[in-house]
Amino acid sequence: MNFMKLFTYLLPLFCLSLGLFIMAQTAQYVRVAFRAPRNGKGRSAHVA
Amino acid sequence: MALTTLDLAVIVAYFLGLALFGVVVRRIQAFEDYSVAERAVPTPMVLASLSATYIGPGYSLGLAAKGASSGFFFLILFLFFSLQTVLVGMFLAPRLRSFTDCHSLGDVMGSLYGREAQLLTGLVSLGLCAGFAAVLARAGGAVLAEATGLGLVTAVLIVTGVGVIYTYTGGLKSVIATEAAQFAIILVAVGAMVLIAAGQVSSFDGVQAAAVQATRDKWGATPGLALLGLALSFLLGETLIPPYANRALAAESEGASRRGFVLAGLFSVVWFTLMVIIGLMGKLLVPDTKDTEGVFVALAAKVLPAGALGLLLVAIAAIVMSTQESLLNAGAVAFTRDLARPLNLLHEGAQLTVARVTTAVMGAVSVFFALRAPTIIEGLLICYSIWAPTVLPALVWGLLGFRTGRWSGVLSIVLGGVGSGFCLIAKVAGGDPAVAILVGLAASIIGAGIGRLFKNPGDQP
Repeated sequence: MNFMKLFTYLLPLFCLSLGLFIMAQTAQYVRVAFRAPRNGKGRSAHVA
Repeated sequence: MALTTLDLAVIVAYFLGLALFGVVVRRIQAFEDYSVAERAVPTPMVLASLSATYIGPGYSLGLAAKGASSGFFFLILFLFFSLQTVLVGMFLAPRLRSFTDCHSLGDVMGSLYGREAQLLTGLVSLGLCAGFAAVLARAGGAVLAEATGLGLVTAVLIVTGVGVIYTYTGGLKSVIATEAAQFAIILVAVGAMVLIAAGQVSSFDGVQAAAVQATRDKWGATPGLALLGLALSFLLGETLIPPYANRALAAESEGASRRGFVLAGLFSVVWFTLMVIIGLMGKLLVPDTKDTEGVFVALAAKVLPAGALGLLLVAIAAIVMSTQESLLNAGAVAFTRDLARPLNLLHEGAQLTVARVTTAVMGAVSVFFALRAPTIIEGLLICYSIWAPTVLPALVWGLLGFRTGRWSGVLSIVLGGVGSGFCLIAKVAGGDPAVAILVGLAASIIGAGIGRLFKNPGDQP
């Protein structure tokens, strides 16, 4: 078996999957981290 | 480079999108948002932002070029960086996160060793971040100028200016969000490029055999001591530099800090291997590339269709910008917390304003140095080279829970810096950074030992 051929196909597929996962996680993080402040206290007030 | 209208549209949309994000996130109002993103960063974001930060031009385009010329040789050495990141995740990052009132590494050093150690750490942090940000400003500008035909000055201003907008407005919070998005773009664009290029490789057996031979040749031609030095540089050179440490401080928990670092370390193995594969495929598919440094971009230009090439160039810009913005943010926080605040130059309420202004000033200074004063950059980069022997020994010692004292911290930093800086400036052993690290580490440990002889009422038990 040619290991280089194996990795040349396997690693990019892993990267594509991880990239899509991180995109979804980023969208969720942005929604939570930058949501509009309520009562002038922002996110901290909700976390607390 | 011949770009289609679609490629250019992708590039313009990327920069406009980032600038727009900078305007959208202007609502953050607290210094804790700016410095440690409210200490609420989940594991996937720690993984993504840390990975995006360490993947700079050297760890991508540079490693691909080394893959083309030396096979797997540098991959073996780069794995010491992976090992370091995993070890930091297992033993140090969670302990850093436990300093819940600290915003910077200088703060942590101040808690462990007192005000003088904080000031010294702040000074080295600021120099390191400013110097490296200037290098990246030039690198990013050069890539954009080459791709679009813009002048270098305009390209440098665009790359750094757009980054400064969202770093200025949203601090670490927006840096982490944009880095994660940039990391995703990088993964998708580079992954797609490798898959497309792989389809054009006629014989993997030939590529593998040539790579193994190049590795053996390079290995045989490198003296054992030089190998040891290179391994040491990769193991210690970037350990817990301010932008990395800020991710540990910003994680939502000690567990998130640990997992984020360990996963980023493991991912680096995948990334480094992929870069070497790109270099090896480039050597086969674009053999006429004059300079191996350009093999990554040359391969992309050869195999990618219109639009996809623009996305890949965006990914390269993202590689540079994500690292640069982390450095600008870390430098601004280091100045605010470790220099201005301990010296009573500002009151608590002014920290956010000072950090924002420092970010903008650092951006302007990095553009100026990038275009006008490369020798000053070299001077500032000494801060990068002396990081490991100055701050690291005292930091690791304190984080592992050993007894700390005011003088042992100060002397460890000062003697480590003097020892390592002397080797670099006086070009001892040809100015080899690995030798400087070794000498600096020895001096730092001696300094800590001497410091233990002094007693101070403020020392921790």
